[in-house]
Amino acid sequence: MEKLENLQLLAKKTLRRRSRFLVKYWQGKEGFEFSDYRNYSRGDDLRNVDWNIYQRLGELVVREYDAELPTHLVLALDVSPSMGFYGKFSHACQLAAAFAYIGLCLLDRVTLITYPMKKTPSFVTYKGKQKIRNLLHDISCLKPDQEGDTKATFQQIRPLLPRRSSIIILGDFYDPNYPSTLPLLKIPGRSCNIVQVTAPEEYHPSLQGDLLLEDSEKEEQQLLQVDSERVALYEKQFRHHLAQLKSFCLRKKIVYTTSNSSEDITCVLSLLRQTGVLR
Amino acid sequence: MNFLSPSYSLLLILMLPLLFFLRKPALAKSKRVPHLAFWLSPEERNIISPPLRKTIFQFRFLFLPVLLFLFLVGALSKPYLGVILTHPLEIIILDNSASMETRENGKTRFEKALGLLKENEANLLMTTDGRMYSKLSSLLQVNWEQKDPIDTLEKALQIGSDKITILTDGAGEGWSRFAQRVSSLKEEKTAQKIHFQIIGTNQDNLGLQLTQIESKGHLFLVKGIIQGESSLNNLLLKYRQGPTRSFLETTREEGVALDLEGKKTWEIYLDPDEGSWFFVELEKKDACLSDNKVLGRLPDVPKVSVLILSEKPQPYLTAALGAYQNLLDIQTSGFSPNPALIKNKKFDLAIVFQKNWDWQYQSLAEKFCFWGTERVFSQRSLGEAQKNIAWKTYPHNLTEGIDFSLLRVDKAQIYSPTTKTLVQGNYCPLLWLDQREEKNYLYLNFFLEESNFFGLPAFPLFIKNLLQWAQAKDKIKSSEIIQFPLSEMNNRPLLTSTEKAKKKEKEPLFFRPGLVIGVLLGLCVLLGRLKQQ
Repeated sequence: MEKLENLQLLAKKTLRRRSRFLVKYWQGKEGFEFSDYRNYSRGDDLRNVDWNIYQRLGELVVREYDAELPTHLVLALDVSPSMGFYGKFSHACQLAAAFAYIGLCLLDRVTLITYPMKKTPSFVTYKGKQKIRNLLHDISCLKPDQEGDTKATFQQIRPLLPRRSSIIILGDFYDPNYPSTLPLLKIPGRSCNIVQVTAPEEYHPSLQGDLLLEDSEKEEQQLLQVDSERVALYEKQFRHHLAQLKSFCLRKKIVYTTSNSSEDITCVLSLLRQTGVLR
Repeated sequence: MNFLSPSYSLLLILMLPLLFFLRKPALAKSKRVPHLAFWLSPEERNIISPPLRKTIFQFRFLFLPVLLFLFLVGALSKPYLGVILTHPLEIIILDNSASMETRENGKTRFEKALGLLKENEANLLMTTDGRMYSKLSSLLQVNWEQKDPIDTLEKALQIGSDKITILTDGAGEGWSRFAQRVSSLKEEKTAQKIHFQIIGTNQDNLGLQLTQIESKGHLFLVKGIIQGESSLNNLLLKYRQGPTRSFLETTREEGVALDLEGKKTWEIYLDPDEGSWFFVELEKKDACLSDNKVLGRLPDVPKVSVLILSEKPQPYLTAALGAYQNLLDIQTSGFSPNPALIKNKKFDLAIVFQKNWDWQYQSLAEKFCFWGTERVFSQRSLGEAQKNIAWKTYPHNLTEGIDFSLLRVDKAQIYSPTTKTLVQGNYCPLLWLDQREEKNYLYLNFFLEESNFFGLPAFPLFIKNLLQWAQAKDKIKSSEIIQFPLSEMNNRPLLTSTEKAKKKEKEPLFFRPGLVIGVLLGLCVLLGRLKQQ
């Protein structure tokens, strides 16, 4: 909670500074709406002067804009069995809690979704800072043991997503069908961000010897002789997967970030900036 | 009942890591990974691996550990298995008849029985009215409308219990038959399962005993004693007869009741014609409580082999004999016109219809009945044969129940009166007995066809009496007395739970073959695995 309080202060400062910056330098661009005219005063940006009115009326008036910042944060947390390895899930939970806390402090609402789900996905919305304890309790109750169809879950979630919301998807994205599932949550006008949670053990596995490897999500197994060659093959394919996901997100205009389970969650602000929740 | 004690359970749990250790070498070390596809080359991904469960549960992997596990479980649980195999189900049958309300030392017998039951862990509790209870708390009260306890016993035997304990005071209508049933089970070795515990101190009415059965004429005299110490003034002796022992199982009928009048010895006369089986019971005059019954069997009456010596057929006699086949030995009886033809045979009774008799054939039979034969005993006729009417009948077994007053004889020889005359005519004796050389003779002083005797209803009765007279009493076998006082049954007290536990503790643990085999097998397999590694 202390860490989260510090995060909140940092986030407020950042938000104020950013808001001023945004209003000053970014108004008139995408995400900002015209609100009113006011008389020109010294120091106002000349780019905001409405020259058409000056031509007709001979008065200098300045256009004012409201920043259309998102008011709703949607967190989608991967609870598949593959997240249960090497502390990935606890790291993802911590990230989700941090996101949610800042979201509740700065924005209106936070919604927590878990995927994949066999039945109806849970779609719980929290409003106000006082709900943070409920949210943290709910997160602490989650376990990475759900098996189901991610695509079906996202299809069910998609119509429920609120307007003016920002979506953050936390997971390892080992589902080979991600090219078809992730675009389901990419809705025009709403920012979609993914945070791929990884672990150091996944980059450099320490397995060795004759092993019967079992897949955590499918009932598949393979008897393999794990040697340096096999590990090299693994590392190559793992990095290839990360690169593929990143390039896919670039193509689809989805903000992609990775977070290693060994990192501290105080880096969450940089993640928030990267993901666009804070600009 | 606990299948495994905590100590055995602990031993079993200690064995589980051993089993796991033994199982592991059978499989390659398995490791779960988040995404198996990263470990496989594109070519390998196309190979479909079998599901994990199928591999693990393959017979060859699990056979040995499972076998070992079963042996160990069997070995360690042997004492308890033994308990289950020998006493898997213990049933207690509680007498909840009215007599259990008898109060002794401030407590009723029923309360005493409940006290015993509270300390005992029986699987099933039954009451003599046939109800079953799994918990003592759901029990119960004395039932005044009693059913036959033998039905409850049969039910308990059907359940297949290995120990049946019966808590009863022994007083009640059905307990004698109950004991009789238990006695019959002794032949099947089932009776060993059944134990009695007599509740209450007042068992004085359990001492009814038969002491002797002897033949008295055509009746049997049954003697008995009552061994109880209390006053017998309040008791009635009842007895009833039947053709088979199964008559006890039929609906109870009133028997003949005798007031004992305080006497401890008693005697009753029984007629074998009413049935060879009988029972005697004690019953209180003023209460519904009845005592145990004693079942007895009258001796088998020997059948009579009859020789008819007659030159012409005697249809009336043959018909009358046919009516008493139970007394007549048909296989050895015979008919002959001349005694010389059957010299070597011996009969119980010879009925002679011949005019003259040669005494050289006296060894043919034990008893003779002469019918109109002249000069048998060298007595001479005092005059010409006369018509006679039966005038007087003297009491004897041969004349019992027969009315001779209608007997008319056309010709009867005039003989002097005898000392053993049975029927006296108006001129001379018509029937009399005599004895010569330890042989008994009945003499009828007329020919059958020269009288109206064959047409009288008394004729077949006379034949019956004649056969009974001829019965060889010395051939009567000893009588059978079957007594079932409950006190003579397996009277073993109920074991309390603490006593049971003590009994179990006495069983040695480390000398059981099952345990030794299990441990040896486990060691062998363990050494084999270690060698492989």
